[in-house]
Amino acid sequence: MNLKKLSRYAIILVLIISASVFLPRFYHKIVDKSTRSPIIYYSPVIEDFAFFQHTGGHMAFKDGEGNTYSRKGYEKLLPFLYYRDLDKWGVLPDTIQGVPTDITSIRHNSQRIRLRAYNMDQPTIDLYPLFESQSDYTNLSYPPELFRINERIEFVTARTNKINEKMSRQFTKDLKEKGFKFPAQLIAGNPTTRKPFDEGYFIVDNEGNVFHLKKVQDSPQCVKTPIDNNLNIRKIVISESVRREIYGYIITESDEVYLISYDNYKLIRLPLKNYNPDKMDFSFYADPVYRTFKYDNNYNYYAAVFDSNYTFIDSMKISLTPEQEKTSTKVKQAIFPFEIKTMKSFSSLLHFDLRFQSWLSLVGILISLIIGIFVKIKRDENIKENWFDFVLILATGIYGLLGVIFIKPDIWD
Amino acid sequence: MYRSLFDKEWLKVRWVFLAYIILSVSVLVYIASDLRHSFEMKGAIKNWLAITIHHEMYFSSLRYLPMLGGFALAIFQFVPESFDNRFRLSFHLPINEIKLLLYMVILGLGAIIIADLITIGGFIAVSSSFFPAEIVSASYQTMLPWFMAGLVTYLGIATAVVEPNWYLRIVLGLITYFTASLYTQGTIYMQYNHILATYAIPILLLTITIIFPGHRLRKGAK
Amino acid sequence: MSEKIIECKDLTHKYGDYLVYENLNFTVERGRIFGLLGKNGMGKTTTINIMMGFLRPTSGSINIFGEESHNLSPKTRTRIGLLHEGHLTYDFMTVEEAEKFFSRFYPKWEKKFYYDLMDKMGMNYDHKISNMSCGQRSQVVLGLIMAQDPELMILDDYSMGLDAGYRRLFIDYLKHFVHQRNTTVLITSHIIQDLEKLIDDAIIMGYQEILLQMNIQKFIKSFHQYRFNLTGPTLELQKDDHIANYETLDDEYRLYSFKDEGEIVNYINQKGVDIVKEDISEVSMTLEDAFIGLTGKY
Repeated sequence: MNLKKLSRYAIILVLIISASVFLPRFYHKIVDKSTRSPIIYYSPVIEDFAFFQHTGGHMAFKDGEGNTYSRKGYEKLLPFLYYRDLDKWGVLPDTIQGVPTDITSIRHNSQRIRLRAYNMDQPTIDLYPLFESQSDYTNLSYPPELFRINERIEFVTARTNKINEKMSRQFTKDLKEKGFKFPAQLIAGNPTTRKPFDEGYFIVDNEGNVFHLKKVQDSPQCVKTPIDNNLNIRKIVISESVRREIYGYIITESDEVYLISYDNYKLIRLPLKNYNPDKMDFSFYADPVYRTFKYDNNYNYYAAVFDSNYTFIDSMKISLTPEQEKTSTKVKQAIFPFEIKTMKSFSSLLHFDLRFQSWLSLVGILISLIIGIFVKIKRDENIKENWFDFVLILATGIYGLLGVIFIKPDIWD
Repeated sequence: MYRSLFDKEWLKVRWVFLAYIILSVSVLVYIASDLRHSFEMKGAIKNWLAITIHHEMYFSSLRYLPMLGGFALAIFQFVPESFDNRFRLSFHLPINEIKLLLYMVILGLGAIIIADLITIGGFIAVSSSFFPAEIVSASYQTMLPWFMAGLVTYLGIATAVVEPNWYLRIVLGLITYFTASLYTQGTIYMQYNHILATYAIPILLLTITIIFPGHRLRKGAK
Repeated sequence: MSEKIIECKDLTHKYGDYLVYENLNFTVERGRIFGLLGKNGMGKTTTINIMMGFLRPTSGSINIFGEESHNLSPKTRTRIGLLHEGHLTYDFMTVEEAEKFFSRFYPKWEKKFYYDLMDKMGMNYDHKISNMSCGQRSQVVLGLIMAQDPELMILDDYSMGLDAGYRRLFIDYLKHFVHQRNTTVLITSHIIQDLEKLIDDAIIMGYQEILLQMNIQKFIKSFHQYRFNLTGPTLELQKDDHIANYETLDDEYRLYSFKDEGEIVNYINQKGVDIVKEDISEVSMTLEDAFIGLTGKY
């Protein structure tokens, strides 16, 4: 095959690559229907799950038994969520399961932490603000420097873009004294001022030990936590709450989830079945009575609820029609033998993922082949010289067909 | 012989090459003044955190600049050769037509890469005066796909200009546009980092696409 | 036996279904100056394009220096100087830049040929070609071809866009140069008058056919224009082996023919018109007259 023919195939390949990115996207733009995501909670009133879901144009409100409710009825099941509406209707009870239900109490005893699947591979710029934990003021304010950890901890002053040597040495000394082995494997905190107070950072050192670092009155306060250093921690999510029950949670390499409690960093293991942090969005919701964990991958929705001692109460799962079984997906697989996905809903990164979809695509390939033969004969093209065109159609279906039809061979071939 | 070709290409593109560099430097100056202003008004730390937490891109004005440069260079380099059968002049030269076309393309790529390196170097200088190493590094890594888009645009448009058939020119133009847009999809920092080598594949393919239309042009295809 | 530089064998070309010509055969030997003549659209440019390798013929072939024209090796191309229709050159270059550019491609390059011509024209070496008139540009292109000192020159419509003065200048220089260097030349034009003193042999192309293929001197000697008046009887005329072309204007008849006077008189008599030799006068023709006579005025 000479370079001129190779050049033609190079053009066709570029066309195939672009087509396999954009044609499926276009297809989705035309056929996609909204996913009817269920929103699941646990009701202290009926002591069962209560959820709502869009179905065929209207909202359905149900409980775990399958009973249906009106919207008002549904909201009455969840006073910790809809206390403002209930209060407005004058039906907010004084206590539920022995717990006071005034608005202030509810607010002070509720907490939400979210972790989206795409947070897992989100690229980070490893510079962090260490807030003053015991400020004279109620509002947190940003410190003048950000820190990084390499073979020591360094504070870089933003205004001058220079290292604050004094502070860096002071904090490095304290970390070393507490047994910290540089460099850090993981730094986790909550770098926003919109939180009630600051708990600093949980830092995993080079040997897997977890340290808790805060800045108190400009000085370092560092604790080596008793957290097991063999957990293979993958991610730590920190979220300060006035409840002061948990700092946040840990996700390990083997997809285990542990809450970090204020009780000397004791870990609370959560047995969450089928949780895959890379493919599922996760949320933790605490109200005055329950601890609810939800995770879903857009077609399987799981909820697990525990009591305030983290004793398991109940779990449920709602499955929507999986992608594979939808007609629109089957048609797509017949038309497109593969798709190059650059964006994935559960990932922050961009990709270049070529995946063969299903045997249904043989239908599309066969049709493409027939169309290709027909067109080439009609155009009087030399089929023998350009047999590779058919190999392309066989391998890539409609993409290859478009390529070899648009980019005609040299009439002298 | 190659010296002559180099001189010829340089004569055609020297002004657009210079203009591209000046434009890039102007954008860098704009970025620098924008940063200075923002640092003054919002304070340095807020600017740093907008980047580390919210992935704000202070250099997004550079996003489509390399595509513009690639497009302009392809036009200035190949259009003077393509109207009124002018390519016949070059095709009659005693040099293999494939070598001729590839050499022209290599020179064009070389010019773009040199200009881009100057731009990136200038950017790093500007950025380093405002930001620490992690942000500077994250920034230029984020920009790399945009410069790759510029290479795609240059190669694709050069192929389209050389192509004698108008309808195919449009097809090639569309292919170029869609392929280049694959490189400018990023919304956060370093989104392409792990996959840059794979994204180099279309560029490698495009380095030889000019040969097919060039050959057909020489043979009198319409 | 002179070396065959260009050999055209059974050349046929069609654009789609439209036939340009078929089975064209000719040879150009070393040192000869060959003219490809004909009205616009008769196939001159097609033939040149095939010869230069920019068009593949429907069938048949043209060989230059023994190689097929559509696949000339770079080495062979150094021996061929090409003038492209419209005096194509790199407009964005100056006089000096153009010479420097081409000089590196051709081993026999003689910059003297180029600069002598430029000096004679009073051309500033920094003058950009795009800023020149058509005439000036044609001289630059000619100079570049001469400096290449090619064994074969192919000049496609050298006259395009040139006024009479520059056309004459071009031909004068060309003639002087090619006779000195024994260059083989193939030249096309639709302006005939300048070529009379230059070309040796010619092909004249007509609509879908070759009208003439012979030595120019022989053509001028053997092609006649006869005039006579006829009052009264009208003469039915058509193109045949006696009459190459004819015109009538009121009573006056003009006949163009390769036959001598006697044969023409017999031919007319056979058509039923009484006429004798003394009634017919022969008009002498320049090459241009003969060309128009053969191809027609429109």
